[in-house]
Amino acid sequence: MKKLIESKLFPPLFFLVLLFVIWVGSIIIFKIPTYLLPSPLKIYKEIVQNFYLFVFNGYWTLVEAMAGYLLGGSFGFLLGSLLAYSKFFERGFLPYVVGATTIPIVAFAPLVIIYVGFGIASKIVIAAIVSFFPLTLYTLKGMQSSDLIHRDLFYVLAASRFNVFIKLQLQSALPYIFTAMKQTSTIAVIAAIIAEYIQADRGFGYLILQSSYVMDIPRMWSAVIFSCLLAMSFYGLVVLIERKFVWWHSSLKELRI
Amino acid sequence: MSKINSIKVKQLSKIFETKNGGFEALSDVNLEVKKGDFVSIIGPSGCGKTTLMRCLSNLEDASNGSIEINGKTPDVARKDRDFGMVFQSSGLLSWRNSFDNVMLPVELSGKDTNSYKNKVNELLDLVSLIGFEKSYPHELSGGMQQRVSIARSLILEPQILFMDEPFGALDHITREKLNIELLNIWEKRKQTIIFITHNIREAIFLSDQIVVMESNPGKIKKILNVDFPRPRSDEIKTYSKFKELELEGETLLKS
Repeated sequence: MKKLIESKLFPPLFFLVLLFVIWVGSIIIFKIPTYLLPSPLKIYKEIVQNFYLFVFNGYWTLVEAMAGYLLGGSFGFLLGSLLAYSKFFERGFLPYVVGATTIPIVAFAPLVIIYVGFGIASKIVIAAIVSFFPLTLYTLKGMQSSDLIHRDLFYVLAASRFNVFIKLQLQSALPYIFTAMKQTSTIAVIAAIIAEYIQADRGFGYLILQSSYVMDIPRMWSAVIFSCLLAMSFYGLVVLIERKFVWWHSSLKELRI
Repeated sequence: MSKINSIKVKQLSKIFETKNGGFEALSDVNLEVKKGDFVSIIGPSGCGKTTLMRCLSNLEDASNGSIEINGKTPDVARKDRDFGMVFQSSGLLSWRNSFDNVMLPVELSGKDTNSYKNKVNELLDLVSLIGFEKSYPHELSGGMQQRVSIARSLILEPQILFMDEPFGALDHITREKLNIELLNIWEKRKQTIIFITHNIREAIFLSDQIVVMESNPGKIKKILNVDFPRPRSDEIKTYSKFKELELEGETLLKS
């Protein structure tokens, strides 16, 4: 028993099974109709029968989220670097960057669609906007948080501004940058789906919205599950890349208490 | 043979601005260090040893008075890479292995790293770290990390070496081993070394001169000359002159 509790696989599996038991159990006991809560079996059938539908729409949501993520993230990183490099730009830009993070994307997205158009470009821009600001702020913060002793070292060694930036600040910022990249990986997927709610002819947002008009609850649930899987794999990918680059950072070591 | 000065400090004072007015960390410090000498600075916590070294190495600006390093201001000497520095903690970059950490000053100086590869290995040999070139800081013990940082400070062969309690965090036995290694290195290269320590025995063992400081405000109390012959071994610790110096040092530090 102790072995099971301490194993890696058992605890999450246990709660997954428990969830299914409660799910199916309550459907049977309380006689919940499918149009309110479908059973796992119904959702499974829906997925198998319409697999292509989910793959097709998932593909487009993924493309929008990924393209926006890379685009917004890259520009966020560049702006964050610029702000870290120059006090003038930091003082000039930072208040507006911080202010811009408070714009609710749901409120702003319809405008983007009007400006950019009805294609996938507008969805990419919306995913880019939500990726942009966290990357800017975390890049800046990370670059400013290099160790004091390392700064003294680079100063005594008469390092050029460029070398301080490349060999010290950029490295010190990596853990922060990856924190932002993990955060925005899931947010970019959410943003793409929200954009598709507003206007789209493909993607999970479109699929969920269309299914809701005809009360196709199993299809809606299936799309929700696929969206989760999409965001989770996206997140997992970033975690894998992070381990390649910042294995040396203390945050990856287990905290012993 | 009269030696030329490598460090000259005249009426140096350093005042830190705090919320409650100025705090005088250093007051009227005068010091001359001859080229190739090993000078220790010793004193109670808060006596301004580290502040003095940070002024010498251009990490702080003097409030008053003047500092000459090789006849230049600290800022020019730093840019000419006249001195190297070893900090209280190793300050290794955790994303670089030992070899690349030792190579860092070469990269930052813009010199060709290829021509320094042998030299990095020689230095790692000198500090007994052969076989650990590819190890990352977190895979090394505290003493080994500090030895990497010593190798790093030597790679560009600076004429002057500032060492701020480099062995302060290490145990007694490792410390004595590293002291002997440091003396070997110094005797081969004859740099000028300024060495901060808390430990009077360590200071006597290593130095030509010991600068004893006092606090509030931080200033020099007395400079002790140590003229045991070199190369030195543990044997000198049994000399009666060693014990006299130790007693004198301790009395100065307590009073």
